[in-house]
Amino acid sequence: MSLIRIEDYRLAFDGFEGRVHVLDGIDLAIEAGESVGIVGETGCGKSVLARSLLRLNPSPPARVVSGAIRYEGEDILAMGGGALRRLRGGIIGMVFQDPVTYLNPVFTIGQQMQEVLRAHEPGLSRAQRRARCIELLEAVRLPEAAALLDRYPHELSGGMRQRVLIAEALAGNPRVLVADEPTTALDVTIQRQILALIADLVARLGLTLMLISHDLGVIGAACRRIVVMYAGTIVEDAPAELLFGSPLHPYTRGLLAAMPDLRQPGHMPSGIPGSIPNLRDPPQGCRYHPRCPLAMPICCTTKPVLRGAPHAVACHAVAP
Amino acid sequence: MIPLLELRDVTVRFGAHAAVREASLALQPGAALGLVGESGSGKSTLLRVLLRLQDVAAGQVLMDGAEITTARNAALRALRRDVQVVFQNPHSALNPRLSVHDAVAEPLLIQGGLSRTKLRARIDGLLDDVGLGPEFLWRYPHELSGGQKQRVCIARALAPGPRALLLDEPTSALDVSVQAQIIDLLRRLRARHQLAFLFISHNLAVVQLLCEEIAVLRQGEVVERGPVAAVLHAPAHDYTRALLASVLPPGINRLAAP
Amino acid sequence: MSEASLPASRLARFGMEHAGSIRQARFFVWTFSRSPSAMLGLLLVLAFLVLTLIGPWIVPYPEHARGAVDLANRLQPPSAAHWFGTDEMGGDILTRVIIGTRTSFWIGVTITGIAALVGVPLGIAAGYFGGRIRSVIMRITDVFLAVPGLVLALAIVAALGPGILHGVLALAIVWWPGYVRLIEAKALTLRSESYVEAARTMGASHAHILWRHILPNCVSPLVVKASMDMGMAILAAASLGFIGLGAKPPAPEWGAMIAIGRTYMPDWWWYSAFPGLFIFLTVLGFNLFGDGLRDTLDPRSSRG
Repeated sequence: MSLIRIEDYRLAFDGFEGRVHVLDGIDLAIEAGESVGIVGETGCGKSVLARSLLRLNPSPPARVVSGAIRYEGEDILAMGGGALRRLRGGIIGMVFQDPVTYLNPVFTIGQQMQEVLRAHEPGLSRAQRRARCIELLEAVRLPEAAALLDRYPHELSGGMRQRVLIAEALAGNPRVLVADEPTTALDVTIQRQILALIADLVARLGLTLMLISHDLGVIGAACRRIVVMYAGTIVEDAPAELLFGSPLHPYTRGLLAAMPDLRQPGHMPSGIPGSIPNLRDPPQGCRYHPRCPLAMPICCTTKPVLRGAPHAVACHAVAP
Repeated sequence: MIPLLELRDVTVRFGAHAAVREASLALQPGAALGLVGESGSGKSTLLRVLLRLQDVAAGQVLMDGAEITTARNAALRALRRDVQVVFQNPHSALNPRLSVHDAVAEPLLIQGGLSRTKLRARIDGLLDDVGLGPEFLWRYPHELSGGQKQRVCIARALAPGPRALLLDEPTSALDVSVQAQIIDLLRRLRARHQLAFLFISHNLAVVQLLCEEIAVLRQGEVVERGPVAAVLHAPAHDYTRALLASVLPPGINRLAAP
Repeated sequence: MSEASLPASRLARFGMEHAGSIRQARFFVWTFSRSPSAMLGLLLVLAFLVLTLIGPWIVPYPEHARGAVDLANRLQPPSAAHWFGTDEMGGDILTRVIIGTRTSFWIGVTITGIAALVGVPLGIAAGYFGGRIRSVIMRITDVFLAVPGLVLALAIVAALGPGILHGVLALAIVWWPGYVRLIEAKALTLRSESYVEAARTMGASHAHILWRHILPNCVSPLVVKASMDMGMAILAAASLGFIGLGAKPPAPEWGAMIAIGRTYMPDWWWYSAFPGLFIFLTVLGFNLFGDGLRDTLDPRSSRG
């Protein structure tokens, strides 16, 4: 049994001028210990998918149209309050993009971490909690952890704040870490350190990782398996070396061709013509067909199925 | 050759903190200079100094060899026409209450001297220049994608017929497939209008595509300067080397343990 | 490109040029109508405005509006002839309460109008120009804000002498600092928006930037505050009327009516209850309406 199994998951947002079909038939199975990167551009639904694992999409406007998300067989979408609280933080820990907005400026780091710990382990004494906080901050390689507990968020650099948030995500001893663009708000030199930290934690604690990013370079630094999303669908799902070595889906190829590469000064990146579809009225068949250089008549009518293992692709024009 | 824009030993202070320390730069007519550095390196402050939006504590700002360090109003007329800016975040660079037409018309109306029909023809031409069709004329910013907004910002910057564009991370907020389109657009516009570029970015790969020269900033100081190929492929300063080592190209990247 | 000359094509061109605005308006209506409390507010405000507009023509006893005396019918409980009962002079309370909407309306509009006209220019000047101009304006504003508004208004009325005009004037004098605060904060953030900086790099004058960029973006918070203040101003004016420093009987003003009706409590409860109910509904209506407007007009709210 897979650790996490998403089955034909469809999510829509009810809004002005109708329903927006944000996720359309997502099928994804993640095994324990895997590190999976979800990559795609604005509006592809990657963050919505990540938040779905913790049922964090506010409803309304979000509405599950169909499908299930199972953790060890149990449907997250059907969980009650108590089970959901255990899931959040206790089973799946989450790290977000902007470390500034997820820390409360009026409380010290220690106060905020104690708060998180109280929720997960109510039985601990004050001293035990403090010791655990220091242990967590040391796990994310923050120096002088004890002194850090009495500092306020604004006294920390962006990279340190993100480390604190990772420590908080680990406070409930989760088995899965979901990181949504954890380095996008950080400088490049810090980005590399945070990614190295995440990769190291995943290996040391035996975590299962789901990393969301728009950047194939970031994904390539921390994930063994890469899932490419476009307009609410998974278009390709493959081990990293296969995805970079022999990308199959025309969108994946377009994405790779659009990335500037420092190692190839002469290579001019080429953009993908057209723009992402309006998900109020998504294209019939394959959602990529209006922009696809390989589009055939069948692409306009029938949605391609994600098939092939270990290199899966959802495309009529290319075979896995 | 006399530089179009030049900074000599410029220092900018915010209270006790020096955001820029004795920085010198020169942008030659038609040249493309990349300014790279991380947050807090002072690159955006330097851009604001060049635009005379920020006063300096010490040093000189020159345009075409004439000092404009403390010039105001009428004395800045040449700068306000010849040097235009494109900001990083296209979402805040357009007034939400103005249509595309009104946004692009703004600099033309400020400078004056165009009849109604000529104004409209000029706006149509500018939108065509940046690859936007006439159907965008009456849209509002919230109806545009990030890339389309950035094209409108570029059209607005081109309207006064500038000789230089100062670009502050113009692609950082965009998707890569859109970033590639904007880079391509900027390259074509530069060739067509013989524009000089001052291009601010933290993304070395993008700078490499658009610039011939590069200056590396760190905590308000220019630590390295030279032709792009030399700086990126044979960096002399440790900080430049650290920046280069942080780049994650598309592909599998092995990271050293933290 | 030929200029459009036919009316039909002129209309089509208008539709095209304003398609964005039309869509935006439809979005506002959609967001607003999805909130029950906002719709209740709208309903109450509309009812208030309708009564203001056509009140004199629909009231059952128009002659009672200015204090007719009908002592045979004094202090009658609510009945078919007098839905809200009658007062100590035999005046029909329904009539007097409906006519009172006019008084309240012009009180509200005058107070908020004067306050906005004084407060907005000062707020924009303080927020946009900053520096010494800001220090001077904001210190004066702080002085006014440091004294409780109603207390200050009381002092002013006491100096000028009681009367509805003096009451309104006094309240307008204590009302404007709120607008300075609101608009100053908004202008301060707008000043550093990229599009304002971009306009400066094009050589735009201060007048151009204020008119084109700052003022239009201050309209939403202004409308929201003005709507809420309508209710609060009406309440404040009624308070002055209640303690005898505002409108004087027999002028049909809600606060003054409650003040007299109070002496007839609890046996003749309808005398103060119905003016009180109207004050309550009016203030509630403007507050809910303002709240709904804020949720709708907030430019940061996502488009669902």
